[in-house]
Amino acid sequence: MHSHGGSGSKRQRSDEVAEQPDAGSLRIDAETKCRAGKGPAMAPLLPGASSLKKRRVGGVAQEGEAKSVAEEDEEDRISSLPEDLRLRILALLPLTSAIRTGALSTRWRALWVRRWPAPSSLDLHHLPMDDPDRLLASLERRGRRRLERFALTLHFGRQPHRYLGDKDIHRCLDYAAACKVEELHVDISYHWVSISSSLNFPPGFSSLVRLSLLRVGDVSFGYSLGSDAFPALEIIHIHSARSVDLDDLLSASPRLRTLDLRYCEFVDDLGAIYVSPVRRCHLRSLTVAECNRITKIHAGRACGLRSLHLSSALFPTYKIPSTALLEDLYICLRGHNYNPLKHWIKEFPNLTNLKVLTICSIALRLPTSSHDTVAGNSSEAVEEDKPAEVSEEDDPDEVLSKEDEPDEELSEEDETDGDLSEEDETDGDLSEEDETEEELLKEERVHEYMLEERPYYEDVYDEDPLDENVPQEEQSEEDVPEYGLNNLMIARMMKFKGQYHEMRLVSFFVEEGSCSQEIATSRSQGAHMLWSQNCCVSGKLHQMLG
Amino acid sequence: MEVDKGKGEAEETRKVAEADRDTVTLKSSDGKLFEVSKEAAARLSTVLAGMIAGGSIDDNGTDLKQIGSEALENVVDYCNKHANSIPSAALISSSISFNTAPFKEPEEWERKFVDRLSHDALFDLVEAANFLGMERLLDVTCHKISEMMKGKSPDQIREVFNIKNDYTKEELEEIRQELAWAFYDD
Repeated sequence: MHSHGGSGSKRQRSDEVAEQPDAGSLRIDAETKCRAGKGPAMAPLLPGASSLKKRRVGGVAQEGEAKSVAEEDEEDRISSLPEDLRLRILALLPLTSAIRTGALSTRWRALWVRRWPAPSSLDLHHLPMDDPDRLLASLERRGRRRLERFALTLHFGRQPHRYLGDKDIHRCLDYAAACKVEELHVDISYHWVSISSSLNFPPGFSSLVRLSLLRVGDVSFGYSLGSDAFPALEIIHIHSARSVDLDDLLSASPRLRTLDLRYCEFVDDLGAIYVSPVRRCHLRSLTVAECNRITKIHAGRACGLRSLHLSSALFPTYKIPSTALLEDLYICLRGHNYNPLKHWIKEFPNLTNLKVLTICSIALRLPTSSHDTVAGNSSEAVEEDKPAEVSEEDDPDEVLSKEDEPDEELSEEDETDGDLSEEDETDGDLSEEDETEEELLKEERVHEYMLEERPYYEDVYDEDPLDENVPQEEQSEEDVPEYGLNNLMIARMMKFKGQYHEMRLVSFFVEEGSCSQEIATSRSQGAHMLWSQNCCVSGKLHQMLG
Repeated sequence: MEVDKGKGEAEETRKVAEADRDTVTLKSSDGKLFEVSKEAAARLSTVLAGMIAGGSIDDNGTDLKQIGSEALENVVDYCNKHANSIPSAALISSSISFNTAPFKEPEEWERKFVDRLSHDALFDLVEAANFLGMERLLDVTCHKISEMMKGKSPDQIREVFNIKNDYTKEELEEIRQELAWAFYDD
């Protein structure tokens, strides 16, 4: 490129050009050089800017051409590109390089601010006054470029232009599938559309990794799906769906790692879900919350299961492989059950790896009706414990009772009623939950507390919730054997009322000591509904230092 | 132009009703005709795909008035090279990893393809690709342009691209201060 260098000034110029690590093309540089030599009067501030222009490709400037004319002739191809193309180029530059382009000229000044990676995410919010056809047309215009994320949200509103119907939603789904979408999110928050909608997933989601469906009506995945219709699908969230053809989906998703079902009214026909239909099951996290028609959960092949969250007004039975090492367990089953031990507590595999345990305190209360259930267990211990209870309760109670006072009575009353629909109904549930933990720990004692001591405790509590003595925990320690919860870091109890049986459990963790770094309780109503957000821990009972 | 017969046949069996030819003829703004495999055109250009699907392809040469013959030749060249050198599945097939970058680095042959272009031919090709909705070609050409900008000072970039600095001295100083941190290593 130096071959053109003649005069001293030219040479200077060419050196400058040559410094550029990889100038666009040799031809340009050479031309630039030649012309530069003729323009000694450079702008003082930016020497290169005004004097150095080259003619574009074909048009080699005449030597005699006046400099100013030449400048105007020169074409600035890059600045005349449409903005989206320039942004596309900026998106390929490292950030500092992109920012520096702000100094190029006024046409570039603020462009870099809008530099974005090639839009591979579509987040569509459809309002009823929007025209669905325009939405679809805009998708058509975008073309079938690859999509990382496609989110469609239908909002509520009045005076719809035309309802975005199932047909339109299906076209969106087809589009997302054609763009090889990796994350798909559909939320029909417009209730009336939601309840009447019926989505049938098209084939072709070969790249889909995350699927989340919110407030949808009927969802089906087609009977014709092959066993690998969703070969990449790892995460499924389905919340508030009226009905879901879950089996079809699960059997077509061999790589599934997380299944999260909440508030789904109907799941398949028989109320049984087979979470691990595939031989090599990758499932690590299973959540089934408030899907109150599910009666059976089969996860027998999910050997890698680490997180299990169950919450239901019923009493679903479940099957978990004994080799699964759970680390996070949430249990809030409030349905009636006459043999908890047999039916579900023993279903829990080894809990030695458990780090986080959350139980709904409702389960700890003793429903009057459930006496028979548990009564079979030892009654002897009760007597001994009673005296101890009162004293033990005190310290934790004080802390807790402050928050709890108002609700206690109400909740207790409710318990007796035992409706399934309400949270408090849980006659049998809570007691059962206690058992889960403690039974794992020690089965005999727990029942006793719950059954017989509770009435006693309640009386005490009602009278004077706040003023109680400081506790002595020694008594319980004697009985506590070693249990397998060596790795437990956090124990949470929801809907904590500070009642005796709850305190027993707390003191168990305190005394056990081996495990707990934190014991938290929360009494917020409906907390079990929010447990996805870490249970809104509002009151810390104890901060234990292992 | 050469046409990949195998692909053409496959295409034909798929779209029996539609196609008796497996190529389409494109006409540049200056009236030159180019032929390109229908399959490649439909796969690489959303606009051509739309025209093919919509039946608005003219057997005597579909007019592309916005594209000069040099650029169109490059487009067609690119389509044919693409059809020959990359199994069509490669672009379409997806990786399973979750954070795949949307932009895929140009292949070696694509680099060579744009490297040999003159400055103007490169920009003509960008504009043609944009007009025809050829995402991959846009990626490749824009990548080339970004390479030409990378690591350069504003002065150097202006020089390469003939950008006229229309800032006043004061404005420029202001910008430099605003964005000082990005200029540190100048």
